[in-house]
Amino acid sequence: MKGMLQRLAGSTVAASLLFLMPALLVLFLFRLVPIEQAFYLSLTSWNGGTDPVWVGLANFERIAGDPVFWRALTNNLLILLFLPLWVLGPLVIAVIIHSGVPGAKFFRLMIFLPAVLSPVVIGAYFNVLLKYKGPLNVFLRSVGLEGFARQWLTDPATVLPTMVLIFIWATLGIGTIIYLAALAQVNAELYEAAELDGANWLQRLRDITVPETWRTIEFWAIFVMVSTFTTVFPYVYTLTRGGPGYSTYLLDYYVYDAAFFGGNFGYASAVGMVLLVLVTGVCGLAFFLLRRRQA
Amino acid sequence: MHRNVKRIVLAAAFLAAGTAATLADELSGEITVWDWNYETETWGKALKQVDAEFLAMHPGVTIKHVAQPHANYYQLWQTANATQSGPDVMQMHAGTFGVLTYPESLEPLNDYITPEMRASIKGWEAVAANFDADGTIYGVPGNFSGWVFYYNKALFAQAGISEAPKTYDELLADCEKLKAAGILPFALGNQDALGTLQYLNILFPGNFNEADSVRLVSGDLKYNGDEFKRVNQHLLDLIDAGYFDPGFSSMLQWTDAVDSFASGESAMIAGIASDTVSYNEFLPSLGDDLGVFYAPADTVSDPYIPDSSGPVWVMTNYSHNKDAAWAYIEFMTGPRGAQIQYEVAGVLPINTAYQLPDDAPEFVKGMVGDFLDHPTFLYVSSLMRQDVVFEWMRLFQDVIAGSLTLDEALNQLQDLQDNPK
Amino acid sequence: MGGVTFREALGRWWAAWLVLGVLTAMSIYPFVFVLITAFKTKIAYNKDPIGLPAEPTLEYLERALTSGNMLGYLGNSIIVVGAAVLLLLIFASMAGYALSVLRFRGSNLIFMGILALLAVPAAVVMIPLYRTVGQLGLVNTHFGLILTYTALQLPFSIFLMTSYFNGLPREIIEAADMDGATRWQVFRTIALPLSFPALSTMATLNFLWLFNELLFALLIMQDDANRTLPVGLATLQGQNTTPVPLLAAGLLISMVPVLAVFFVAQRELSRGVTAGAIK
Repeated sequence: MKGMLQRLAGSTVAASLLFLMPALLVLFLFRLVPIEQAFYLSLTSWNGGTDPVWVGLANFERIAGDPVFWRALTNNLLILLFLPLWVLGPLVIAVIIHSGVPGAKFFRLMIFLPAVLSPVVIGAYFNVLLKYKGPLNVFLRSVGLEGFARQWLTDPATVLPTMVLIFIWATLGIGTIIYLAALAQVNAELYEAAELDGANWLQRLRDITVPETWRTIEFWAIFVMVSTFTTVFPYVYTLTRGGPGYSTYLLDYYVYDAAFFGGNFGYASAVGMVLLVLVTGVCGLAFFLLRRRQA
Repeated sequence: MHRNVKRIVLAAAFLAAGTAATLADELSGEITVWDWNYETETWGKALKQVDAEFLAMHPGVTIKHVAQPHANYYQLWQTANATQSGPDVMQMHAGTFGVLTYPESLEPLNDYITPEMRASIKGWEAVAANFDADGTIYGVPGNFSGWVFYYNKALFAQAGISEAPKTYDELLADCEKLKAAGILPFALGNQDALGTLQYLNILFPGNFNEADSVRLVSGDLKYNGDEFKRVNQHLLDLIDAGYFDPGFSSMLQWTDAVDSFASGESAMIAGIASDTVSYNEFLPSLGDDLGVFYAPADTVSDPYIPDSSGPVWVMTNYSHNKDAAWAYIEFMTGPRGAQIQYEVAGVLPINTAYQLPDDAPEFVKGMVGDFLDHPTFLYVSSLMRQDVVFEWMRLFQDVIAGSLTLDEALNQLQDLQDNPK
Repeated sequence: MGGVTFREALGRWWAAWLVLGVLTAMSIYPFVFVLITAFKTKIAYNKDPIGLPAEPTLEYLERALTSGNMLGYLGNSIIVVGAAVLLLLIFASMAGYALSVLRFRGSNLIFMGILALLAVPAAVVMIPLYRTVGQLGLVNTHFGLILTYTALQLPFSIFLMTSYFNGLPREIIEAADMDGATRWQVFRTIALPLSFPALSTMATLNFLWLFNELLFALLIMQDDANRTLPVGLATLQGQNTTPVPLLAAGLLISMVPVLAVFFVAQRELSRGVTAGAIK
């Protein structure tokens, strides 16, 4: 037995597979099989109790004419409007920290702090903070800014931007740290030369920082874009449950809602499949564009 | 009833003598029980006592009692149910909110229920297929949790109102008087859209009798028809007239609105007879000023009281220990269970085999009396298909915010009713 | 810096300090708010949600710990997350080694396939994953959640390890190969010790993510005695009547472990976050 293992380990493919085996086994059972099952369920009508009933493409036809689906997709796309702020905000902060400001280490540490908080904690916190009679509005009123007091999370006009700003806040530290690492690799002489030429802060940002860190900006943009489709669920869940009305109803929340409150796991899985295709499309497109730039 | 009393006396005697273990009892094994109240302060205490007394009576049985989070209760149940790993016994909401959405996983109880039980407990239509009390029964009603308007008598008097409104028009007139006297008429929290649902549930019977209620949810009457629209319009009118706290859309009914009414900041609140938003939370601070009135009449002259039959108790049809599971349900919903729940947590009995003690507050005795004397029927959001209810809650928020008209919302609602996903 | 007075520094840096100061305040306030609020009474909070508690109370902290059973949940979290992190260390380092150092036809394809799993929304697989765990008889067991968590974080962890091994100088491994050591020996005695920085980073990040995970913990652990901290917190929040100070007490308790990790494993954290982002 041992001899055979050794011989197997001698060939590269077999050895690699032995090294890969535990990981692949777990991934197969707990990641691939569920995706395959989700695909199967998307072609059924299933209330969770009795056996799923095969319905073919009926769920997908229903999705095409489902106003709630289109509302959710629209919301997902509206979030992308905040992409510039989301992508460039951390860059600007990183540039400021990188500029040699006294206390840089401390600020870096503090701005990263929220990144360790769980979405459940963040959601619960902002839910309390942003209530009509909550701390933020009380503060605004006490300093004479009562005109700015809002029903942040329950007014359809403010709720989506508020929620997106919370996402941005929660990921700000991560983005800043990533950009700082990229900035550390930019040749400092470039800046010195630009300064000698009399370039101001904004020009240096545009002409040196952005081009020199472009790969990182791309990475962060893709990361953020995929996140808006895949990781916002816990925030929606703890902050608004998609409300008021459908104002913050997003696709991954729809999957959950259609399954556990709508009572049809088949239809929910179909929405999930559409979401999966969408995310894969976004990733694939981004990947393709990056490859092309590289070539 | 007589038999039950005898049984309790016997049980109590054995308990007192510490000889419960010698009681001949063929029940054994473990039962798993789920509920969402187990970790709450008041209910939890009562349920723990029920468990303890049940175990003393049946020493062969063990109970695994699982406290589930209320917000994820049905999610957990559905996932457990998908692999038939759910509990033996569980607490559920009545009607389509709970029991009647999952009949294929629940044990029909018609053969278990004794005639005495049947006669002493009210509200069987809430746990019966097609809301027909003579049909298949899937659960046992747990307590009185009717949906009512509580009001503050002192604030009413201050506005010159001497008695509670009986019709919608009187309600409207009283609101105007309250507002004129500088008193906020209603407490409401609608962040999760449940607050307005409570108001709609109470206003609904004013325009729908029992038969029409069933016709509406079965599709014979339309959600975009005039009658249903009228109910919705009533609430919208109350909101537009400024009878609610301007911050209601970011407040919660269960906490913020309760605080507002309990502290005398507002004159009325849509609440529940037992459970949360109940008299338990108001009696301590309001005392004799606490009053209650029921669904106001509109096109229906004598509306039923919308009731939820409390949390009801059900058994899964794949339970491996049905005898013990049923014994537990029988004890929980029986007179001794009702007594514990009332004494410990102030939960109102739906089982007439248990009589409230003489020293119970007059307010409580009055409310229980009203329920027994009055027609009661399941509240509408537990008659409707649940996906339609959730759509209704969301669309109504959109209507309040002005991003949809009521007509558009109700058309979309009817469309979902006709074309389920 | 020594020669510059504070006044001079202020003149030059006031704008940067203002921006960074506001951001710092926003980062710290959740912790401050929770700390203050957990010691307030419900009535005091309703009256003044911002200020310090006039008469601090331990009632809610006590309730969160006792009837809220936060300590029991914490114990479960540590067992489950600890075991999953250990499995991830072993499985991901082996897989990363295979994909980076050993390489073979198709290894790139496997790598891309594993990466693609990062884009699958949790909501999509939630229901079938639960079914799978159920079919294996692992619902309501620590082991079921441990394996689920391992699978959840494997793609990222493999990615991290593969990138790290890619950056190791080839010569060291080739030299050991020449000495006739078996592949397993090279991996264990040379590659693993060299990859300590990557391993510690991976452990830190996975600990934080899994410690904060709610969805699968909620589905798989149905028995109160087996539940993890985020579920306990969600239970607290999900009860309609939970007063804000009680919620704050729960939040406070759940913040302590992650804060400890944050300050102890500073370097690992920022290293992990930036891995793969720059090149």
